[in-house]
Parts: sequence; structure tokens; C-alpha cells
Amino acid sequence: MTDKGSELRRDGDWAVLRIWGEVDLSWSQDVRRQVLEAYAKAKALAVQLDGVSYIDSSGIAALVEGFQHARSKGGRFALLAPSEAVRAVLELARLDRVFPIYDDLGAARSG
Amino acid sequence: MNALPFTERSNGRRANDQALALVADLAQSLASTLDLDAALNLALGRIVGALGALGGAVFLLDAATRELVCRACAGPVDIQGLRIPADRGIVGRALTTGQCQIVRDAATDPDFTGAIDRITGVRTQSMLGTPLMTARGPIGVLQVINKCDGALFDEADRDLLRALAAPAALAASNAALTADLLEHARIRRELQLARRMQRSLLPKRRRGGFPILAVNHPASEISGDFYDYFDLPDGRIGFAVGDVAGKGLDAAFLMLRCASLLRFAGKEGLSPSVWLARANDDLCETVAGGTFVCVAVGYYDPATRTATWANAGFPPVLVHGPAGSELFRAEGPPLGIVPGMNFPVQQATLAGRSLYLFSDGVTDARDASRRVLGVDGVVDLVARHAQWRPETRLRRIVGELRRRTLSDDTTLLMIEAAA
Repeated sequence: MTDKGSELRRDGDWAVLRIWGEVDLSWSQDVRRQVLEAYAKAKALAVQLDGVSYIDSSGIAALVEGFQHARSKGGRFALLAPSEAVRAVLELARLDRVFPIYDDLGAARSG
Repeated sequence: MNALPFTERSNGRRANDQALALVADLAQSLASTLDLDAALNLALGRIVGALGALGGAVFLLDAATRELVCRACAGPVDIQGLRIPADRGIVGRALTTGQCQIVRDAATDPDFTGAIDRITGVRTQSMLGTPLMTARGPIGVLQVINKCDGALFDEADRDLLRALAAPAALAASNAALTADLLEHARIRRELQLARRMQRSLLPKRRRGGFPILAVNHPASEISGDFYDYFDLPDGRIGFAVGDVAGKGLDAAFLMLRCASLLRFAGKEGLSPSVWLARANDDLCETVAGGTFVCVAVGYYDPATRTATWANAGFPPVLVHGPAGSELFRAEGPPLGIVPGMNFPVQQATLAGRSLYLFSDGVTDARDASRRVLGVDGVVDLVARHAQWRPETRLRRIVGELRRRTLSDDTTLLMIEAAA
């Protein structure tokens, strides 16, 4: 099995949640909880996805919930540096029309 | 049972035999009971009698509230149903320590609360309490109070009570396990019912050269995938395939709602892009956060052999024919996330070609080394079975998918012009 994990850091006004590994049904509930908890610390959240090797629809649902949370509470949400695997899923489902996606936090800040 | 210590300590063979007979009787009646409360009450009456006590009670632990609940009682006042904190009093001490408690003068015991005495009006002088032990730990306490002749409970009484507590604990534990099993069976029945309800809403397979064939294989008892097709008065056939994110009852209910919403809009003959925009705005108002639906909807016109559709985040539509494969990727995001989205119309002529819609359960099917099939894998799979007539082809494709690990609902819908 691929290693997976997450790490939350603070960068100015933003909270950055970096997750890595396979995000599937066995883990996505935990990711969802971490996404929502991160909003308790900051109004802007970026989820960094460069180390995600696979994401299924339950993992996407966790990201959608973070996005919707920001929309309803007037916060910000961004995806950072999605891996090829994540980018392919986002583009196939045209979620690139929904999520703000940036290469790095600097771009998200000025985006 | 005859190895238990009370047989050695009792005052003579007659008392011994009586005690042994009582243990045997109670063990047998408790082991065969279907009505736990009745059996416990009956057993407790005989235990209180055998020990010459004024009263007694069986308390069982309610793990959810951490309370001990009186399930049986014998004595002057009925306290059945009474709840006391599981970590307090002498009864609580028997439970938490897992040790039998002999109390000769309750009033001087530091843990004595008098809580039960205040309810019953009976003053507890001496008390004997033993935990009901099971493999999963203590599940309650069997307690007797006050010898009728004013004497104190002794070690022989304690050992007899311990011997009687064992079958009572087993009976209570069995009853709890049986209740769990019944609850599981009930939930299972309800899920099966939900599954049957879902299946009954999928359209029946139509024969006689009908151009649409579909299959749905749920990952669990109930499914978040759906498909639908229906006739329009102008001769076109409407179709919809969807995949609700998530599994279980939540996804199943949203799937039912979404399927009916799409059917009503589709029967109006709206353009596929208006059809999806309307459903999207409706779902955005009503669905809970983090839930979304990937769907493709459209019409097939047998007169022109043309399919027209719009795709909201559903995997690419595959059109395959002798000249090769063509993939049409979704141009709109899934429904239920952001209102006001647009969903451009796509179109393909099917003369001599077939159209395939497949949910992501198909692309996510994994082989023995955990590699997912992917869109390219689906294209290849369809191409390899293209020579078969539609029913056989679909059966072979599904057969091959089932030899992989399917962790998600798997749905396939195919449209082929009648030859």
C-alpha cells in the first residue's frame, strides 16, 4: 500500500492542508473532517495535492464540501499543484470549472 | 460445577445437595430462556429464598448511558426499571472492580449512597453483590440485601451467589447478542427493501430491436448509480445515466430524487443543456454539502440515428464503430455544486456505430495488481467485444469487469441503431 498522510500549516492568512497518498473511501471521511477543521483556524484554505497518487469520488466530495463551505461562509478555497492523477480526474469531470486551481499559494493569494 | 468452593464450605451434605440442585435448576432455566426478564425474576426469587435474604436485584449495564438498570427484583418494593450511575455505590463498585462485595454494615461503607434505600424505604444493613462476568467484561451486578434472620452474609453465601451469577450472566449476555443479531437482520431487510425499490425504478429491458441496453451492478446493497430511458411523443427516446457521489442510504435517496427530477424534465423534451441546467439549479438548492451528481442526459432519434446529449461531470461518452473510437468529454461540472452553470450540447450520428455511457465504477475497476482500468482501458474493452451482437457484447463486457475488483457502483448504458 502507498503511504498516505496529511499536514496542516499556517501561511499568513491561509491554512494549507497538504495531503498525499491514495484518497479513497477508506480515508476520505478523515480528509473531509480535516478540511472542515482547518476552517476553524483560517478563513482561507488551500489543499495541496502534489503528492496525491489517486483520488476517487468520495475524495472529490471532501474537496467539494470545503469549496462549498468557503462559498457559504464568505471564505476562500483553493487547490494547489494537483498531481497529474488528480488533474486528470478534475478535468474529466470538468471540476476545473468549479475549483480555483493554482500552482502555488502565491498565485492563490493574488488570484 | 461441583468443583466450586461452596460445596466444600457448606454445612453438610444436605445443604450442599440443595445448593447444587439450585445451581443446576437455574443454569438450565436461564440457558433455555427466550424471555430474559421473566427468567431473571424467577431465578432471583429462588436465589433470595436460598440465601434467606429480604430482597435482591439484578442490574444490567446500559453502555450508552453508563447506568445500571434494574432488570429484575425480589423483595418488598418493586424497583424494576430503576437506573443508577454505573460508577457509584456498592453495586457500582462490584461492577468496576469485577469483585464480589460482602458488606456487613452498609452505613459505615464509604461507597454506600443510600440511593436505593430512599426509593424503597427499606434500610440496607448487610449486602452481598457480585458482578455478572462475561468474556466481554462485566455486564451487570447481582445483589441481595439483609438476611431475614438478622445474621450477616458469610463466605458460603458469597460463593453460592457467585455460582448463581454465572448462568445469569450468560443468559443476559446471550439475550444482548440475540438482540444485536435481530437488529442487524432488521437493518439488512430494510436495505434489501431499499434495493428492491431502487431496482423497480430502473426501466425494464425492452426487446424487439429497442436501441438502448443498460446494466447496473451496485457495489453494496444499495446503489448511488442510476439509468433511465423513456419514449417521447415525437418518436425520440430520452435517456439519463447518473452517479451520486457517496454510497449507502444518503446516496440512494438522492439518487431516487435525482432520477425522478431528470425524468420529469426530460419528458418535457427540453434541450439537454436546459434539462441539466434546471436540474443543477434545483439540486444546488436542496442537496447537503459535499454531495454532487455526475450525469449525462440526452435523446436518441431513431429517424436520423442521431444522439444529442449534455454531460455534467460524467465520464466521457464513447462512440465506437468500424472506423475507430471517438470520446466526448464532459463540458459541464457535476450537478449540485454551483448554480447557474451551463452544459453545452454534444452530438453524434450512430449509423453503424454504438454509443457507450459508463460510470466511474467502470473506469475505477482494478486488476490484480490494483491498476485501474481507466478511460483508455474501457475504449480497449469495448473494441475487443465489438464484433458481438448488443446483448452478448454487453454481457461479455460486464463479465470481464466482474473479474476485476469493483469497489464502486458500476453502470453501463449503450445505444445502438437497429440493424
